[in-house]
Amino acid sequence: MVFTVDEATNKSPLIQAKNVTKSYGDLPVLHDFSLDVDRGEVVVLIGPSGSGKTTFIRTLNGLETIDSGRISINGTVLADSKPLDKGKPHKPNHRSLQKVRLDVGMVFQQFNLFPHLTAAENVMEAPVWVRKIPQKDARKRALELLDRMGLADRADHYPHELSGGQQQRVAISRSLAMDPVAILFDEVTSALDPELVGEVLRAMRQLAADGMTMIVVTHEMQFARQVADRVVMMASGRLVEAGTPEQIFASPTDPRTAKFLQSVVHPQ
Amino acid sequence: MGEIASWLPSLLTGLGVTVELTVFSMVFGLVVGLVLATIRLEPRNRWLYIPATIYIEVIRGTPLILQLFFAYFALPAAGIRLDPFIAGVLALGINYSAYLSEVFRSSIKAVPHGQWEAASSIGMPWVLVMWRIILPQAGRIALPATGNYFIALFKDSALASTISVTELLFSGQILAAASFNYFGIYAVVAVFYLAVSYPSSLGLRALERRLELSRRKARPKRVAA
Repeated sequence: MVFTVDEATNKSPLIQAKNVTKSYGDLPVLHDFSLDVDRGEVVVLIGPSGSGKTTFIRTLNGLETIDSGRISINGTVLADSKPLDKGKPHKPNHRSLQKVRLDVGMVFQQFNLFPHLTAAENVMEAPVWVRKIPQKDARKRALELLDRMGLADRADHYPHELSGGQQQRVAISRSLAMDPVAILFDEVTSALDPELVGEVLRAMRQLAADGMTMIVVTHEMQFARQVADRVVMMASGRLVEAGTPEQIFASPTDPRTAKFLQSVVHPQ
Repeated sequence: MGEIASWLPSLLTGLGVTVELTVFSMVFGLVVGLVLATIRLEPRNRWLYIPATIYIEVIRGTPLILQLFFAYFALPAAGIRLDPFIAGVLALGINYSAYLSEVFRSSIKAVPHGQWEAASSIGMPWVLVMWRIILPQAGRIALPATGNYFIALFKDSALASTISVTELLFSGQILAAASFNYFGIYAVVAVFYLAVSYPSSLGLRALERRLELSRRKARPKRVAA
């Protein structure tokens, strides 16, 4: 195993979101949404677009603020507030934001690799500049991570020389390089050509098998079915239902889930 | 021919002063411009944003030659007496900082927002994100316009002759006043300006091409240890 996951030192969930509410102006995007994620768990968020999945995982590393509710990650309280009183969004303090971002990695739909750096340099950037690890050691580690993602021969290529699938695997390596306790995946295969989706999902499957805590927003139902410990169905910023993949896919209790699955599985 | 040769020493000295004036003013303009651009990225920080905006509007809204006069002729009334060269660098630098700051601000904003998000998500604090991720990309975007301003500044530095800085144009004026050969002297002065500005503009174009990201190729692989 290249990364290390602290074996459950405490019993409380690694990620706790409680009664999270957020709206853009009059448009509510998250409504009283709660979710706990344990160490080593793989949670897949599904639901129609606009249901708040992406917004929710973005709140987990402070890319979005929340209006009210409580978020705590690996013991750090990122947000904790009473229901909105002065119309002021709850802003996390600088130190806990930094701590949470070091703890939680994120992989984006558009990869967001740094275009002026090679694959290896992308992966080394934060270890060298944030953790102050010597260049040589950081490069060695970066090569290991890239090798694990099947990219050993692409380490010195620039992002524009790589396919989308390769870029996304570099992005996964980049977030692994900071030894996160959890990684958030935001529709990471949606921008890929269909034939490149498989290689990225394979990498994620490997990560899940190694015990990484993952929250995954995706439309890949096959992945959800096979890899998720828990599937969470969202609609209109609310949690509709949650359960094992068998429960959700075979016998959804809420008609919205059934309807959504129907539309995804049989698009016509 | 012999006449031209007799002009050369003082014109070359003048050219030296012009280059110094340009380089010092440019460095001043770059540094202050970058600070102003950074301040103006965040309009909510009003105590910095408003003064920076006023500075930029006042400087862009008044003639450069007036700013030179102000620095050299008006400041002594406030008890600040500057050497002509220093006054020139200050006025030119301040003037260009206002224009350059707008170039930098728009270049920084042209870097996709995802770059900020990705860099913060791996724990980089603001200063590091700016220095390591945003500025290298914004710099490439800013280069063509900045290069343009650099060459414009080189020529605008001739205005410093009005506050008695003996740069290239003023050196020419002195020679012309003595010999009355206006045509010959100003033609040579023009050639001197071109001899610097044209190669500079070629050099900038080459630099731009060199830095283009799409031309970057994987380096020959180092042998893995």
